[in-house]
Amino acid sequence: MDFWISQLFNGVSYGALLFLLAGGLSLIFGMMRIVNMTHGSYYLLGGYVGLTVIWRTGSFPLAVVLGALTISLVGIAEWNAFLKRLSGQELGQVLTTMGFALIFQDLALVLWGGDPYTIAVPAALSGSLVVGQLYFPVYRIFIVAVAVVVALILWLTLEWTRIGAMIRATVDDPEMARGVGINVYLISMVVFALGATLAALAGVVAGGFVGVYPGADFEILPYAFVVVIVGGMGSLKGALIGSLMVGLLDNFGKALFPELSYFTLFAPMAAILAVRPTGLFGRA
Amino acid sequence: MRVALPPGAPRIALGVAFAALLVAPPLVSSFLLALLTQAAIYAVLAMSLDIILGYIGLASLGHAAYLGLGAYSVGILATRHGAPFWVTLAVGVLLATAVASIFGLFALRASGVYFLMITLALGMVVWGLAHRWVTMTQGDNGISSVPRPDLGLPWSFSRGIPFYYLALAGFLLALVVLRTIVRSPFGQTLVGIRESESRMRTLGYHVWLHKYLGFVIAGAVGGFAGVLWAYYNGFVSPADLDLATSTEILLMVALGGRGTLIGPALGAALIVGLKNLVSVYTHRWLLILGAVYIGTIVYAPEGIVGALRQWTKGERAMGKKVIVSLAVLALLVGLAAAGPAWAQKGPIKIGVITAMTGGAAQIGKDMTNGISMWLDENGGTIAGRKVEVIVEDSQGQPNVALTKLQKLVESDRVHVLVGEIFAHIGYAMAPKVDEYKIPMLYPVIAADDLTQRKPAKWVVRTGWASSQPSHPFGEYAAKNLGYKRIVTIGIDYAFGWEVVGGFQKTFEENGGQIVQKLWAPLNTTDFAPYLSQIRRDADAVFALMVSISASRFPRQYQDAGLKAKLPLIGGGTTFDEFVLPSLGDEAIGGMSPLIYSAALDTPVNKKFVAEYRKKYGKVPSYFSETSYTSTRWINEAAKAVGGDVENREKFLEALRKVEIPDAPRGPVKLDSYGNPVQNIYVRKVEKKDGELWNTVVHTYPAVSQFWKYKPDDFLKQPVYDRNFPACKHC
Repeated sequence: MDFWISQLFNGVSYGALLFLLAGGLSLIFGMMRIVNMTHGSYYLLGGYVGLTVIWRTGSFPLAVVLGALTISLVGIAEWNAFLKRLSGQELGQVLTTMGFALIFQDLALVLWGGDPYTIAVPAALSGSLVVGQLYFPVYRIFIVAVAVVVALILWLTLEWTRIGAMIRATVDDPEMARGVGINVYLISMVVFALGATLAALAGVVAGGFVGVYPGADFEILPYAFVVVIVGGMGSLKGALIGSLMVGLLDNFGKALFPELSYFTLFAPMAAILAVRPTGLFGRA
Repeated sequence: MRVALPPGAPRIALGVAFAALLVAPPLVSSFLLALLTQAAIYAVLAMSLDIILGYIGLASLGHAAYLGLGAYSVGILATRHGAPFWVTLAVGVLLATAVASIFGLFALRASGVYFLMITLALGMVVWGLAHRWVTMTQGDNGISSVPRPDLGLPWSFSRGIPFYYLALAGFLLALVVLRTIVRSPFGQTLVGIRESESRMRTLGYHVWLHKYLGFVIAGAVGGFAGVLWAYYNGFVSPADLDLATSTEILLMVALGGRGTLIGPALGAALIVGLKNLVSVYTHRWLLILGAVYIGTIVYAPEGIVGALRQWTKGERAMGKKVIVSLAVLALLVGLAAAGPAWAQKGPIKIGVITAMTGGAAQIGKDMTNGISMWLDENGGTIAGRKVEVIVEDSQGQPNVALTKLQKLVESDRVHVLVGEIFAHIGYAMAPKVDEYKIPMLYPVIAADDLTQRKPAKWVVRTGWASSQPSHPFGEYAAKNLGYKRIVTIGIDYAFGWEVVGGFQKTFEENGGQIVQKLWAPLNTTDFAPYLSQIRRDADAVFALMVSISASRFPRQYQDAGLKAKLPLIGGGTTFDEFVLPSLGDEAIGGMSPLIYSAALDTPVNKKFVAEYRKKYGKVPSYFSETSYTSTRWINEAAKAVGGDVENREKFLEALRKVEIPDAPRGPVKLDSYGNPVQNIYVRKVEKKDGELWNTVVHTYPAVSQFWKYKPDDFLKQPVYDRNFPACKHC
């Protein structure tokens, strides 16, 4: 019983991290149909910027904020300079964003070196909560809390604010949205920046948990894609459920069927796609 | 600038190109020949993807899967069952065909971005199996020692030139077959569907079936490329089919010109050239590759051949931008190809192969730091001769390491090699090193069998064997620490199996019991799924972590509430100086054995640590120490032969006889199997002046890789692996 409870908790908290990473990617997909191979790089760079901020100031909250904001600027620049001209060209998007991913990977190596680092977390977030025989690391609880807060903010913004309505309108039908006077370019840029911000936020948060190290970008990228594919592109609900499913599948797969652990992650995804090519909650 | 090409030009250019490819071998260096061989094989793969991208009009992000299926068919059948070429070829192509015909059912339900994502997912399924289905695929160790094929012909394909012609024949065969297909009515229908699916449907064509057949053909030809690739490299690893490879194939097709067949072949050649040649000149080659990705889309969205076609037809004038970028690219490749021909005799040349980019780049840096430091301290000379060090980036990839090995030996004519980090690369290089008869020092690669059951004559290990520190430590844990029941958790590849296996053997022989063995994949950073399985009724946990995993494990171990209950001990890399700076107080008390500790209290080592810190701003890792000592090793041997390192046999003999009484790690000499006999230090992590150090608590002097066993008896047991020794008490 203890085994199941703690594995469930592990899966959920890993899913929470994946939600931070993939929530933005899903919105970007939904709105612009952009396959963004740079998404893992935002995660990596966010972690590195956060690391530098911690080293300079010692402030974890500042690291989270600055890490996320800096990378949103990177996202905006990449979008404006290249991606906005490539709408509807999957091949162009994949290759351009892959090019950026390689460049960012190498720049990170030049700037931060190749040693593995850990982002120091505040004392209040370290240690574990003990319930009977079970240990729940506080930091994992914190990740779940961050994910819940971010999901709530996103949901409230999308459903109840003017800009949220404009985003939804653009996701549903960009032509129509442009017709009624929405600045689709601006909205797209905002969403792209938001995606980059969330990925970087995930990077800083993950830095206190799995560390910051070269290679993390391409390691995490398939997970982000899987979440988006399973949940369906452009759906917040889909991203949330997709993250939880992937977190749990990954965790239980590794614990129960170690030899097939990636198979247990990707095969259900293929099965879902066979039934619903647009994912569980996606719209074609 | 406007340039118009005469209409016959493409045909003539093609003819000249093929003629050049046919007569090239005797004229080019073997390094260039190797690149041409690789390009031919990748060209097959790129052309097969072109069927999907160029003729069906869908971008697939999972095409490397077919390369992998073909390659693993060869790897498994040829090494385990001794299957001949034609059998592996048939199985590889059929398997790829079968998988493509299943994947096609899934993928072709979608189009556009969705098709891309589904193919990505399916590609990941195959990659996941290669990576984790260890009993079948050997996981991250990869499958090595795939023999070159024997076709019953008078030529041996183990040599470069015959194999080049084999690859070229494969390329031409694929070209002819695919060209016939795309020019047939079937191929024309595909183009029609690409242009307008609805029109073709209205005209009564079975659109889905055409696309499906095209998809399956592409998979089959991709499998064919995989078969050639495995035979060429001599080994197969999960990196052959990861996401980066899939994107690279896409780039080849796009760069050359999709929908042209010959374009993707050209693109393959350019990218293979770029990756291998540019990295000779700069370790920042990734920046250039990244720029090529972006530049292709910005400047030549139709690809090189696509653009050429438009110009010959006079549809478009050649833009200045395109000419300039093509010229730059040609210049780069040309420069690179012409480059490494200089330098004949004079200095002693040391070729270093290690990862300078990617996840293990810092280990590569630690190694090159150690080498430079020794040379700087000794006036840049070895045995009185000037020294030239040529560092090549293996990118952490076996096939790149082999290509660079060839470059260093044949083009740079180095006298001795030092290098590499990963065991599977070590195994892949050893036969080549023997073939070249050039001494190579392995300061890091620890795989037991390199100096036990599969020794290579020309490889001199200056580091340690994986299980060497584990043997005394197993005894120490049972006798000195008094543990009776221990749980092990290790990284799931050969190095992990050997470290854990060695520990288990001596621990159990001294009365202990291993009660549970857990394995986590390479590069695991989240240990939650494993920690919650650890049996709480043990006395301690023995963890074997490396690098990134080591930097995360102790903290998560503590947070899971385990540290307070079960003391944490481990293999040397779990707490080595490479990871200590990224660990916190949670690591304090951790015990592990290794050949080195930066805290070793000898004058030689204290000086070494102080100098290294002054120079590089960090505490030396064992990677630095073994590379530093390796350089001195070369010096001692070179002195013994009076600087005549050109006499390789004598030089090798001298290398094997070197004894260093005062290395930073202590006295070192080789046993008759070529592995160092040296001290093993039992170390305990302690905090001093705010830093973590591995305080030495016990020294086992002059430990051999065979510990207290007779070598012959020891070698009768199989090499340690996941299930040997068996877990009797689990």
